[in-house]
Amino acid sequence: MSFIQIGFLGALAALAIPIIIHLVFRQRAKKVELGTLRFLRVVLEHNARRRRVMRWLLLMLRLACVGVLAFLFARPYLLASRAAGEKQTVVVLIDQSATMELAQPDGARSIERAVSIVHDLVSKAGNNSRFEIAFFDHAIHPIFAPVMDAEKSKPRDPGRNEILTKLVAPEACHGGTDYGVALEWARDTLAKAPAGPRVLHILTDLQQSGLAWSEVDELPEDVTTHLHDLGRSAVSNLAVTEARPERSWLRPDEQTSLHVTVYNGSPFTANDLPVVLKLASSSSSTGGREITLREQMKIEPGTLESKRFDLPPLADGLWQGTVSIETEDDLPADNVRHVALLASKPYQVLLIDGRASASPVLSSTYFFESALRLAPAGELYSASPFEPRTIEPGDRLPDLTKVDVVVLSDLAEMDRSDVRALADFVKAGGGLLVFTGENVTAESTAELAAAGLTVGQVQGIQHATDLPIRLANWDSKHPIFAPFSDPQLGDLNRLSFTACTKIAPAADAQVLAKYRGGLPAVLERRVGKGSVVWFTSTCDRRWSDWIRSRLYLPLAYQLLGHQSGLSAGGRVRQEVLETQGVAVLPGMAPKVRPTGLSPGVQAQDGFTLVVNSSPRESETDRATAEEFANRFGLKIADDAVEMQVVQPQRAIAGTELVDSELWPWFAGLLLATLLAEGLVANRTAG
Amino acid sequence: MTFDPRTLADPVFFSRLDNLELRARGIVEGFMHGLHRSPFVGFSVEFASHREYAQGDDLRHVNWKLYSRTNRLYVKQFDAETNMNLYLLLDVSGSMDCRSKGVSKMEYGAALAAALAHLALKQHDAVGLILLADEVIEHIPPKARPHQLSEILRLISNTKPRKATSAARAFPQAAELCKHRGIVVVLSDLFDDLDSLMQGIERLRFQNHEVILFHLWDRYERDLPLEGHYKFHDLETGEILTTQADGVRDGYLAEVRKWQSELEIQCRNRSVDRVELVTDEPLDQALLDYLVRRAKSF
Repeated sequence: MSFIQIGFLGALAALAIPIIIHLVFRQRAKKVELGTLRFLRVVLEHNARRRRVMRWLLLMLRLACVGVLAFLFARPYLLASRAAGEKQTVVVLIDQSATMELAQPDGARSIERAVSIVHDLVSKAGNNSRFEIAFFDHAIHPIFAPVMDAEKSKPRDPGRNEILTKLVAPEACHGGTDYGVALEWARDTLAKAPAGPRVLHILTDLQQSGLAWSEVDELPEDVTTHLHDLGRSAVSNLAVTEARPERSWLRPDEQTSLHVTVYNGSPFTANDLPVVLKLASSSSSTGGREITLREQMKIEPGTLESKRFDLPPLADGLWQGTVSIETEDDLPADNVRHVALLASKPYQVLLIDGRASASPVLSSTYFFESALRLAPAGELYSASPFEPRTIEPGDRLPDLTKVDVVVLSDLAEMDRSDVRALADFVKAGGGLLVFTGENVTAESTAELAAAGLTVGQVQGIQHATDLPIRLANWDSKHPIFAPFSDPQLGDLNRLSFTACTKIAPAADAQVLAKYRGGLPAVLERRVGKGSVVWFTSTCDRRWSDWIRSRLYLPLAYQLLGHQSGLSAGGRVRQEVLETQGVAVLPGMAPKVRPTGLSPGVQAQDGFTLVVNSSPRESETDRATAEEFANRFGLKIADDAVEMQVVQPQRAIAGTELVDSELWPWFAGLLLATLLAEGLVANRTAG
Repeated sequence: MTFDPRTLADPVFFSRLDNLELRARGIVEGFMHGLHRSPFVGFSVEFASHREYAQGDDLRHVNWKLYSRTNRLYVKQFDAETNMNLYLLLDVSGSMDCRSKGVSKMEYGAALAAALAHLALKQHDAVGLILLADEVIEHIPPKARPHQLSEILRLISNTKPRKATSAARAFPQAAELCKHRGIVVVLSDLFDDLDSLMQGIERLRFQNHEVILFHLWDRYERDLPLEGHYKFHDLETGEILTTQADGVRDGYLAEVRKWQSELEIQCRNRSVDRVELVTDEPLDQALLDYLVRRAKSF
């Protein structure tokens, strides 16, 4: 509790008045002689204890009257009201999106300023405050994972020093801004907080582009939000917001173009802005060749301009580099955008045909291979991602190191060494796709089963009787079937089969699709880094006429795309740091982004990942605090929009009314004390 | 302006008179002027003569034998003759020195004792005086001599209050001194142990004395009509209690009433008349009470 008119506390000296009056009256007692005091003594003895208590009570009440009066005039107010014994939960959200790299007027980065403010908050907080602090951009990054207290069996609150040690500004900020993710975490954390006052501090630059990304449930009613605006007005920013190759994966010596978009966020026109593309090949075959292209652009304020860079034919290998603008602005981080292009052959698909025939039409892989090749036999469509090659069971298994996916079609038996090589191939990350048929029996698949390449126990063949066998349901969230989640894009129920292979799924196998009647149609099993997918029917016309369906090609590509990694993004994948999960295709389940990414070109397991910051971060337009609060339904404290550490509101010269003033309570208390004094005084014998 | 002799009974007026005899006479004469009927009628039993009946004479005194012989109505006349002993027991303990206004209980009691002695002697009653506090201090045996009053008055005048009271000791001693049957008038504030007091009175009653208690009060003692902070001083023990008078008044009065009630019950059980007198009240009322009770005793 603090006081606005602290000088009035001097009036507490008036507490001496009742005592003096008491002492003065004691000395002025008049003398009276009585024949006996026997009656008086009885009365006094009878009331002695009560009278003594009442006298002290009376003295206390009179002192309290004077004290309360002094406090009333001193105008006390609360820094923060909280129930005794209850802990205040303070949740702090610190924006670490790319725009928090902007420099403050004092030269410090905004993120450093934010961390400094939180340091002050933590340092000045009372002992009964517990802090939950997290950085956020497009994802949430709590500085402490919940640590269980072994003795109390509940999460342990980190100590203040522990927090201050851990609370360090990140070296670089490059994430997008997603307030929804941050507020969702804050809401959950506050909801789980122990009973007591709950406060939310948000330290952000109120970037406009971060508002519209996600819907958030409102915070609990009693949460007071303090908004610390760390944004800068009139930011001069030029940014490369896009560097998109027409094809990031192309054939060797193939030519492509790169589309570059530059945004002028400054208030002035950018004339003759140099835009530079630099690519370098890391392949030994190209001898470390570099490509540098330079263009100039004129961009009006607040507009985007695009430019196409036509690349020369690229030799086999990975080409990686940057597109940058040569200028100086307030936010240099978005002046560069990373690019990567891969010049290599398509995915190599090895088809092992179990029913080889002199007539290619009669072989079991004829239609499947044609679907992949997209060209007459012996030719390959230039844009096809797959390059199939078919062998027969008697043929020697080629070197699988250069193969991406192996497809077994109605294969009766397989040499044990081949099975072992195949198993090693899958464990190393390769994909295996199996189509069944008449040749696939429990006996014929024993070797595969021994190598762990089956998805369950083969139990024979199920033939259709009066009605054809149709697909009934499938996992529409799985990458294979996600494109078919909308029937308008292709209704898999229309596919019919005359027979299928009955398989009892293994415990670790996942049934992705089922026929009517419940028999598994598509099963998957993870083996090492790779996976095995079984389709329990043929991929030719033997058991079905589905090759004539317009769904054949998409389904075949989905099956192979999943096994090769094409569905997940191909060999060169682009990532933009702006959302926690990225939808691969409309309707598809979002894949979870690996954490700890930073802009650049990174070699991952089986693909190259190009990471860039979100182009939205280049839009430095700011929302107002009201817009922010209304967007997320926050109850902003009156003193909340601050550039400084939250300080208690003070009344200048003591003339303004402070919200947390306690004088009405003290006035009520004074009235009650006076009433009590009157009552006690009337009932107290002197 | 007519003179009201009753004003002579005002205790404040009498307190200003130094001569106790004059004071006693004034009280009695003033008192008698206010009476319409002689209090002396029928006090003696010795026959003197006859006289002719007149309207208004008591029919009990008609001599019916003489009427039967003479056929005329005569009434008997008696000589004024006493056979009554009046013992005045005056409490001279320290508590009797209480004086809230002009007169102390001691002075009030002394004046009353003197008045009673004068009144009784005028009726040829034998009057004795016993001064008692923690014991019998002085006493004058009852006599009907004319100079008895002056002896009684001298003794009263020379007496100073004693600190302590002890009814347990003083009353038996006084009872020893009250040898012949008579009226015992106790003038005291009775501030003593009730049981001891009643034992003493019982002893007097056992000796067939008629006992009248003139219970003397000071106004402060009885009603505590005070406001504010007071230091109360006990005249006998010297004890001091300081308190807010108005704060304890209700409890005090309750205790006084309770004691009065117990005292009254005890007195009634022993056929003792108790007359409460406050020192600021006229003395003639006390005399009237005495005479009414004396008349009833015959």
